[in-house]
Amino acid sequence: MSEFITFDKVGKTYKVGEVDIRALNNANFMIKQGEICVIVGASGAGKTTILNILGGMDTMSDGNVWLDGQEISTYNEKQLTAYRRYEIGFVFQFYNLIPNLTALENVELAVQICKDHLDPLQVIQEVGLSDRKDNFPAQLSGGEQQRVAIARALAKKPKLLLCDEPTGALDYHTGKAVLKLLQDTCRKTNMTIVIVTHNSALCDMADRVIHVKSGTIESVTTNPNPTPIEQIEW
Amino acid sequence: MNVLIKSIFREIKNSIERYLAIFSIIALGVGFFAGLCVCRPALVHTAGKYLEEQNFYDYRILSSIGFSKNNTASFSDLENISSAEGAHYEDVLFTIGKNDLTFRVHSITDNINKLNIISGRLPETDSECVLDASFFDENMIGQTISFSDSNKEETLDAFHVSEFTVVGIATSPLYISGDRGTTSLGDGTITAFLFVNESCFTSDYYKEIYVTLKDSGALYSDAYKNAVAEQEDEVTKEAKIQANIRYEEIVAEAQKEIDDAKIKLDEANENLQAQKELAIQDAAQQIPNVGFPSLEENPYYIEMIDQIEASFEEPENELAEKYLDIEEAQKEVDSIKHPSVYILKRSENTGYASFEQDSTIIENISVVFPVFFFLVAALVCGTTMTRMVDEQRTQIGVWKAMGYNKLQISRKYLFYAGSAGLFGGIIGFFCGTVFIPRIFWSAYKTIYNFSERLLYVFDWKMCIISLGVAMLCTAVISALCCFKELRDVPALILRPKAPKNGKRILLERTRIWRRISFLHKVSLRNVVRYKQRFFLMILGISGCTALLVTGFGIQDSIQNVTDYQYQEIIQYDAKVTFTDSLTLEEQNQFIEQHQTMITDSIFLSENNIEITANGISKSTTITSAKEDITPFIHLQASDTIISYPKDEEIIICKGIADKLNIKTGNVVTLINDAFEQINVTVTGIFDNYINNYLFISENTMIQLFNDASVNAAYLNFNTDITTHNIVASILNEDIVSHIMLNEDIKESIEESFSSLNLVVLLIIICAGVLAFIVLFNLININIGERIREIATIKVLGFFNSESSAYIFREINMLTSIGALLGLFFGKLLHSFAMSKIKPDAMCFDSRIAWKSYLFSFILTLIFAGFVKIAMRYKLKKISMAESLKSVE
Ligand SMILES: Nc1ncnc2c1ncn2[C@@H]1O[C@H](COP(=O)(O)OP(=O)(O)O)[C@@H](O)[C@H]1O
Ligand SMILES: [Mg+2]
Repeated sequence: MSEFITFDKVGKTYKVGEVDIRALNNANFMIKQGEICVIVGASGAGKTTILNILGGMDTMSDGNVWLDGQEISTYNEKQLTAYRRYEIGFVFQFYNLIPNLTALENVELAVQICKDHLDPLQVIQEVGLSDRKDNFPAQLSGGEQQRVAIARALAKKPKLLLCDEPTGALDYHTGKAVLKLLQDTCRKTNMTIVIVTHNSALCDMADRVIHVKSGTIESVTTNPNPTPIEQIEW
Repeated sequence: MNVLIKSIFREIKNSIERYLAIFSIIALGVGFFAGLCVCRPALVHTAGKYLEEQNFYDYRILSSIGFSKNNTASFSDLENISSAEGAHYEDVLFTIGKNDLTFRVHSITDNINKLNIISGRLPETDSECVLDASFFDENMIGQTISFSDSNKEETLDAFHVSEFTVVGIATSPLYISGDRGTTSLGDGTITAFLFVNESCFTSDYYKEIYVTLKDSGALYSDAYKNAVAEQEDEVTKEAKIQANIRYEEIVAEAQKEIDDAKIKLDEANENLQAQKELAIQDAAQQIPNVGFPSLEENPYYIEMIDQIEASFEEPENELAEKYLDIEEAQKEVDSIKHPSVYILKRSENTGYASFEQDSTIIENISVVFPVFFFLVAALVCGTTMTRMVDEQRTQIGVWKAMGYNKLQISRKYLFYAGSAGLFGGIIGFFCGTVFIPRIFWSAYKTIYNFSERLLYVFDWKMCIISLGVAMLCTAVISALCCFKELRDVPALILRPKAPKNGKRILLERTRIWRRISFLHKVSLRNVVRYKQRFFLMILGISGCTALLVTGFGIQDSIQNVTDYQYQEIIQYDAKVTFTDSLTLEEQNQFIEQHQTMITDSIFLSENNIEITANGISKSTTITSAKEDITPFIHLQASDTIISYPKDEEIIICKGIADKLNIKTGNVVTLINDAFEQINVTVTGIFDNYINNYLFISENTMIQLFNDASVNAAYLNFNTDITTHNIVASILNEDIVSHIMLNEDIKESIEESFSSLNLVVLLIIICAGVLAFIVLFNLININIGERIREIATIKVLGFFNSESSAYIFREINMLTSIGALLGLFFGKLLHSFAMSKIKPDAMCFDSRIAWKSYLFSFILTLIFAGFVKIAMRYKLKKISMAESLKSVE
C-alpha cells in the first residue's frame, strides 16, 4: 500500500505581535490509504495545527505535504478551497451545525457544492437519525448533533475525514458511539480517517498512532490489530 | 473606577466599528435635527442684524401729492416712533455703453435705510453717486455715467445735474433680493439702483417718508408684526395730516397765484376804466355844448364816445378773457383732489417679503425628517447593545455571581453607549448647526445680497433637546437591553445562551419551499428569526428609499409646477390693474391704442374680500368677468371642465379649498371691506398652483360691492413684439397702475425653488449615510454573531464569493423588501413633506414620476452594494480556526 499522506519536514510558526510561536517543527510522517490514524498529545502540543495543515485550513511555514500524490503545500487559496470542498470531510469538536437548518438540510448544505456525493437522506439513515432528520440542531443532543456533523462530512464522499476532538464535548457512552460510527465507516468504505484526541486510550482503535509533544512528532507507531471501539475502556 | 474606565476603553477599542455605528447615527440624527432647526433662526438672525445695522424702515409713507419738506420731524413725536426722513426717487434712463438702462435714483437718507458700502465711499458732491453692488463691481468706480437723451423733460428737470461719477458700490436694505421692480420707462424693468445726495433733486417736496419704530422686536416675529400694527393708525393719521399740509400748501400757493393775478387784473381793469372815464371827460370838455338840449344829445359827442368805446373794446375784451382764465384756474384749484396716503410696511418690500417666505420653507421640513433618524438611531443602538450584552453574558454572570448589582454591572454598557451618544450628539450638533445652514446660505446668497457669511446661532434649548434625545436613544435603550438580560439568575447567565432555535416559517408549508435551494432557506429563516434586526433593517432601508423618493419627488412636484401653471392653466400673458374703474369708452380706447401689441383681452372687476368657511378665513382677491374667461385661464379639475359660476355661486382654486377645507357644494361666506357679507355656493374647485383665484358672476359682484366696474384686465401679447416694450408702453398710460407679467412671476418662483434643489441633495446624501450606517451595523452584528457558521462553511469548501453570497443573501432580501416598502413610505412621506413646505399662495402638484421611484430603488441597492463591498473584506479575513473554538 502506497503512502496516502506524506508530511515532510513540516513546520509552522505563528506570529503573535513580535513573538514567533513555533507550533510545529520538522514534522515527518505518512499515513496509508484506508487507515484510521489517531494523533495524540497534550493540550497545546500542536495536534490541531497538523490537522489544519492537512485539511487545507491553514498554510505551513516550511516543509511539504502530499495527499494522494498531490502536493498541497503548493496550493494557493483558491486551490485549497477546492481541495477542502472535494477531498476533505471535517468533524469538529463543537459540531458546528448551521442552527437554522434541520439535520437533513445541514447535510444537504454540504453536498450541494459537491459534484459527486451520497444521497443525504441515506447518510442520515446510516448514522441512525432518520427519525430526527427534520429537527433543528438546538433540538438534538450533543451526540446526535455530532452524528449529523459526521453525516455531513461523509456525504461529500471525501478522500480524507478529519476529526478534531470529536468526542471532546460528549459523554463517555455517546463519545464511544460516535467513535464506533467513525471506525465502522472506515472499515466499510475504506476511507482514511485522522482523529485528533488528547485521550491516549483511543490509540488502541487506530491503525497508526502519531504522538505529538510540544510541536514535534515524538513517535509514529503502527497497530497491526486495532481493537474494536466497544472493547476499549477509559 | 480606573479598572472600569480601562475596561471600557479596551471595549471601545476592540469594537470600534460598533462604537462608531452608534456614534455616527446619533451624529447624523442630531446634526440633521439641530442643523435644520437652526436654519431659519440663523438666516433670520443674519438678515435681522443687517437690517438693524442699516436701520431699515418700518413704515414707508407715500401720498398722491408727496409731502412737504418742512415737518417730517412731526412723525418722531408719535409714540414709539424713533425717527422719520423724507426721500426722493426718480426713474432715469442712463446710457451705459450703447444701451439705455433704467436706474432708480434714490436720495441718500441720513439715518434710515443706510447704505452698506462694499467698495469706495459715499458721494460727497452732487455729481457723485454710489451704484448697486448686486449688478456692478468695483471696476465701475471712477467712471462717469450720464443721462440718456431719451429721458423726458420732467425727468431732466428733476435733477440739477445730468451725469454722475461713480464713487462707490453698495448694498441697500431696500433691496435685499435681486428684484429691482418695474417702471414705465425703457423696457419696463429697473436694472439697478443708484444713490445720490438729496441736493441733486430739484423737487421741493418729498415723494416718500421713511419712519422707524423705537421698539419693534425680532425680524419676522409676531412681536414685530404687533408693534407695527399697533402704531399703524397713529402713523396713518399723521401721514394724512402731513399730506394735507402739503395739500394746503399746493392749494394756497395756487390760490395765491390766482389772487395775485386777479388783483393785477383788477388793477388793470380799474386803470382801463379810469382811462376810459378820463377820455370821456376829456371829450365832454372838448366839445362845446351848442345847440343841443344836453351834451348827451350832441351828435359829435355821441360819435366821440363811440370812438372812445371802440378803442377800449379790445383791451376790455382781453381783460374779460383773462378773468375767464382766472375763473377757470380757480375751478381747477377748487378741484385739486384731496390727497390719498399709502402706508406701506416692510412686508410690502419685495426682498423682505420673499426672504420671509424662502426661509419658512426650510423651517417646515425641519420637523419631519429628524424624528425618523432618531427612531433609526434608537434601533441601531438597541440591536448593537443587545448583541454586546449577549456576547458578554458569561462576564455579566460572573459579575453578578460576585455580588455586583444591576446598576454596577450595566454601568459599563451605559457608559459605552452613552458616551458614543454624547460625543455623537455634540459633534453632530456643532457640525449640523454650522454646516447645514451654510449649505442653504450658499444657495440663498445668490439671491440675497446682505451678507457673505451666515451668523452662527447657538440655541441652548435646542442643544439640550438634541443631547437629551441622543441620550434617550443610547443610554436609556442600552439600560433596557441590559436589564432584560440581568433579570436572569447568575447560574442561568453563566451558561451560554441556548442558541436561538431555528424556526420554521410560513413559507415552508407551501410547495414553493421545496424548490428553494438550501442557501436560500437559511436566509429566509434568518430573515424572520431576529425581529428587532428585521425591523431595523426594514426601517433603515425603507427609510433610505423613502427619503430618496421624497427627495426626487419634491423635485418632480416643484420642477413642473410652474410649467403646469403657466402652460396648462394660465393662458394670459399679463394682468394689468387700472388706477380707477374704466368706462366702456376708456376700455375701447385702451384696446385701440395698443392694438398692435395686445392680441386678446378680457376686462375684469376685482375686489378684495375675506372668504370664510369652516371657521377659517382668508383674505384674497375675487374676480368677476363679463365674458367667457376660459381662453385666459383653464378652469379644470383633473380632466373635468369647471363651468363659470352663475349668480350666487362661486368657483375657487384648489389652494384655498384645501386651506379652508372646502368641498364642492359647500356654502361659503364672502365679506367685503365694509364687513357686509353674502353666502354663495361652491360649484367647482379648479386646479391651480400659484396664486389664488376666486371667480363669481358679475351680478354676485354687484350684490357684494354694489359695483362691478372694470378695474383690471387679462392680456395676451403679440409675440412678435418684445414683451418688455409692450409693458413699457402700457405702463406709460395714466390709467394703468400696475402690470404683472406671468413670465416674471414664473422666473422668480423658479429662482426661489433652486434652494429646494439643495435640500433634495441634502436628503439624498443623508439617505445614503443612513443606509450605510444601518447596513454596516447590521452586517457587522450579523457577521460577529455568525463567525462560527461562516468559518464552518469556509471549512466545508465554500469559495469566498459563495460565503459572502451566503451571508449577504438575507441582506439582499431585506434590502429589497425594505426598498419596496420604502417606495410606499416614500409616497406618504413625500405628500407629508409637500404639505409642510407649501408656501402661502402656492399649491404644489404632489406627484412623483415613475422614474424617481426607479432611481430611488436602484440607488438604495447601490448604497447597499457599497456596504457589501466593504464587508466582503471583513468576511474574507475571518479565520477558519474560528470554527474550532468552543461556543461562548
Ligand atoms: N492562531 C494561533 N496564533 C498563535 N498561536 C497559536 C495559534 N494557533 C495555535 N497556536 C499555538 O500553537 C500551539 C499548538 O496549538 P494547537 O495545535 O491548537 O494545540 P492542540 O490542538 O494540540 O491543543 C499552541 O501553543 C498554541 O498556543
Ligand atoms: Mg486542538
